[in-house]
Amino acid sequence: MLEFMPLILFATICIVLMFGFPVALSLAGTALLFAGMGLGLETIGVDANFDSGYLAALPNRLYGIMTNQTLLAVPLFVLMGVLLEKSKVAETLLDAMALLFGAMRGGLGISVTLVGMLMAASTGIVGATVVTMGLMSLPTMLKRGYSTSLATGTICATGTLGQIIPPSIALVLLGDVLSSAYQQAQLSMGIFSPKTVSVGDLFMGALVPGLLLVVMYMIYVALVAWFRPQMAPAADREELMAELGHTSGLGMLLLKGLVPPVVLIVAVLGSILSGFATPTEASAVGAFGALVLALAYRQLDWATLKDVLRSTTHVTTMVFMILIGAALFSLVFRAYGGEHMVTDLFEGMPGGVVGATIIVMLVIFLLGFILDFIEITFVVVPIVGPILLAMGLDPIWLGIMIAINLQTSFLTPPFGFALFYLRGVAPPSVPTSAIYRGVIPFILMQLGMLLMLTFFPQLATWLPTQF
Amino acid sequence: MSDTTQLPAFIAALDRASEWFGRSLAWLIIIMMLIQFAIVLLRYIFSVNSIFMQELVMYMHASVFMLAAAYTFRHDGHVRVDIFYRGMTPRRQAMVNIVGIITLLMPVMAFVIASSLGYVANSWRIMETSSDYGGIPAVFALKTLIPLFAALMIVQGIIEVVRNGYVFTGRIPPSVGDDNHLEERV
Amino acid sequence: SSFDNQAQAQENFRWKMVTSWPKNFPGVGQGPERLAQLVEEMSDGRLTIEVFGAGQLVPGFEVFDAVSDGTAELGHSASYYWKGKAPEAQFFAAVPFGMNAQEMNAWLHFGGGMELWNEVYEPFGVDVMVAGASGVQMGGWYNKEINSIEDLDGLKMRMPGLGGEVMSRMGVAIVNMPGGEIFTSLQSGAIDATEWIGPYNDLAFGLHQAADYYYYPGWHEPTVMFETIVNEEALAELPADLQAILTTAVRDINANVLDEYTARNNDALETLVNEHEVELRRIPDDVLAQAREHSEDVIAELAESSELGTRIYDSYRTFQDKVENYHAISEQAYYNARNPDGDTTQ
Ligand code: NA
Ligand code: NA
Repeated sequence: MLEFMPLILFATICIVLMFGFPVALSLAGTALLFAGMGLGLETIGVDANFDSGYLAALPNRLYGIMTNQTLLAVPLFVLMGVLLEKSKVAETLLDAMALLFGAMRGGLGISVTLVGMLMAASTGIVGATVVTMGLMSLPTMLKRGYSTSLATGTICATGTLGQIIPPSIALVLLGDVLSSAYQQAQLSMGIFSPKTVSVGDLFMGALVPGLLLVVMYMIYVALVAWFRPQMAPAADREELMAELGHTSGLGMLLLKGLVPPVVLIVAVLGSILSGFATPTEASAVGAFGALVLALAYRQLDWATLKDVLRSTTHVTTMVFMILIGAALFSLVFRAYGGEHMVTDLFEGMPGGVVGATIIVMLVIFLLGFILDFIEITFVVVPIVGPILLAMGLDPIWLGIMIAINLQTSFLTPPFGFALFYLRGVAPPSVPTSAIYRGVIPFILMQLGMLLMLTFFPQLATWLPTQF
Repeated sequence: MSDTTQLPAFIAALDRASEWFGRSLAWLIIIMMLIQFAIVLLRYIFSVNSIFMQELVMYMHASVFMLAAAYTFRHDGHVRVDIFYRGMTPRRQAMVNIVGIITLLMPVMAFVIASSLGYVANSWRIMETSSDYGGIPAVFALKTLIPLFAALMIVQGIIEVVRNGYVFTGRIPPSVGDDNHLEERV
Repeated sequence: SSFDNQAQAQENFRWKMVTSWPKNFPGVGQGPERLAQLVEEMSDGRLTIEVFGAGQLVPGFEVFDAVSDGTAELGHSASYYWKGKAPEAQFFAAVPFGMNAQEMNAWLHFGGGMELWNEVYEPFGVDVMVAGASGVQMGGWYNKEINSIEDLDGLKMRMPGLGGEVMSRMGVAIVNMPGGEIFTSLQSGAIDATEWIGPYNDLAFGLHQAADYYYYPGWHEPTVMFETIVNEEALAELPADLQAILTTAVRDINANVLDEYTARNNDALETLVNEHEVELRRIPDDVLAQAREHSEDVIAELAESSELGTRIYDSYRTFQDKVENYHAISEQAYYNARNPDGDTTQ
């Protein structure tokens, strides 16, 4: 039974999480109790297959999280989101966009998806996009009568798109690891002038599937709005404009409400894509721009600013606390040989490349419940990558499959990072069950995308060959 | 939760200190944003870059989430899987929190301190500096955030055990209109 | 007693080795993998080593701390990463306009270098062995032409370490960024240039898709020497035969990593130039001359920073002067004789 400890640990954590104590502390605490048990058993002479050496790596891991420059973008993107929300800039933007769609139902939902796509493209960090989108658009969607499940589902799914739409930090990290795995696979096959796969190739490969997902999301929102109008009501132009206090006509409202925030978002995105700045720097540009907008709209007084900063502090800390909890869990999971269990599982798998791929995808999907992208990229991919690639899989295809698979996992109830993060910023009036219901259609679309990629791998592999 | 008047005096004082400390930390967010924005301007307009400023942003970033973890805990900002929790009675919620703090939070934070003391001491012994030219020569201070984070969490954990204990025994009403930002939005 | 020795000889050891490279990283990342395999075979399984890529157990820059604390018994890395702990360590990885791999190996093994290196790590409870070399690296990937010193002014470049400090004194804006952002930053123009390693690793990283010019030579890194570091207490627990096996295997990968780079780099360069139409450029002479001047200052300052630094610098400098004289009439004269046209890419 002791060899199944990693599984038992995983199952126990799932149960502990259900009690509702904070996720980060439940992850870390349960893992640590298991570690204590392992140490205890070893002390009384029972071979618990527990290597306590792993635990000593905790301070190194924590310091790594503190100094990870990629994650520096998180607080600043959160600050931008909170500023846009509290100053009502986001609300005006989304309302104005919805007005643009005129009497079309679901216009707001489609606007959110579009803004989310831009946000997602500007950063690849799930925490940052889900949180920022949640802060910016959830209150508006609820206020305009959207069903909580449609609103939260759209935001969760759009927020996780950041992993797929380039430039994405997740793809960059994955590209690094896959590139090494690919060379290793070829060397092991005796190919000594190996072909390469680069981050640029992965970006290209991700473009078509990423955009297809955006289109699928929008079609879904439009369909819901068509068949269930009460879930996604059309904007009432007169009422909305009266409420926004604009009597000067639609043109003026669009000019005032739409142009500045769009300029801001394009500036953030553009500053990354055009080379003005790295994602971290763009997050500062975005936050600064949001501050200026809030001041320009006369929506920021001293009390609001304090409130904004405190909210940003809470949300940022919430995101990083989960990373800290996941780090300790990961160490204990592996101290019990979890990594080797994963390897054994798929090495002993009959059915060749198809069987191995399915197993790997399942394992990654399950681990995605409580491990973050960085952890899985560094821990799982280096083990499974060379073996799958040596079986002849295309590295770009594999990379995109892993990315979409993880994105799906982060969305899948009851546990997933996108769910945790959105729960963390959603008003208490939104029941968690509504979030769970809301993501289901999007999970199905994601799975559909994975199936499409399985049968038409060209969706991922064609574009990179054109350059 | 901001109402501390009914808690024992010592605990209430600690709680107020924690609140004050967290609010102060929040200002670092806007300072780091301005510095990071300045870095972009300097590079774009003047083609200069300061590693020191880059590291300063990192120091502030780390300080915020390590030291404000306890403050966020105080405001119930760490996300829960609340599918059952939200339906529980306040007494039962208080029970979950008390048991969670004692069996999960406390051991973890004690372990963080125990496992990091040697690590941090080594850094102090050599007064570790930046591994980059022009960086901030205070890596030892940065590393000290690790045990500090855990210590603050333990203090807040004690406060919350007392608070939840009072809720459980009915001595103070469950927090309703808490000053948490999450409620203000609706 | 002999009884203890016998008991010890039968004990099996399972060690962890943390590295600063992604798992399976081509070239340098193969060194630790080979080390683990050799040690296991030579010891008949009595000493097994599990190799962890960067971030798998500890982050890449935490390797030294992890070995020093005994979290892992072994580490594979490069000493310039430990500048913040012991600035003198930089002498043993890469010195701008300093010695190349062949010369470094000679100094380290026969010129007193290893003793000095171990002296630097002694306060940390860490033993060190040299464990591979990159050979002369490339100057880097640029999206701006460098035709004169003026072109460096305001150039935004990612270049860590001593080389970066030299460049910053030449007016370059040295930018610090995580490995994951290098490719996109170069592609987008957030930086104008970056150094990386050499053709073999650069091709795999795909930098040719993000930059126009590939400059040489890598004056800032005439080689990077890699290191295997060992926790002293763990090493003391190993019986003498396993210690000998470990030392021998490290000596093997020291040669093997360099051999692999030498073999693969020229294939990769051919692919870069012929298939990807990369434009090779030589760094102009006046730029090199100024870089050489600033390098001397930067290194002299490093030498003066401590008594140990001064001793290391003296030993290094003396050895380099001697070997340079000899290599002028041996290696260099032979290169010239073998290929009188020299570099024909200009
Ligand atoms: Na999930
Ligand atoms: Na280099």
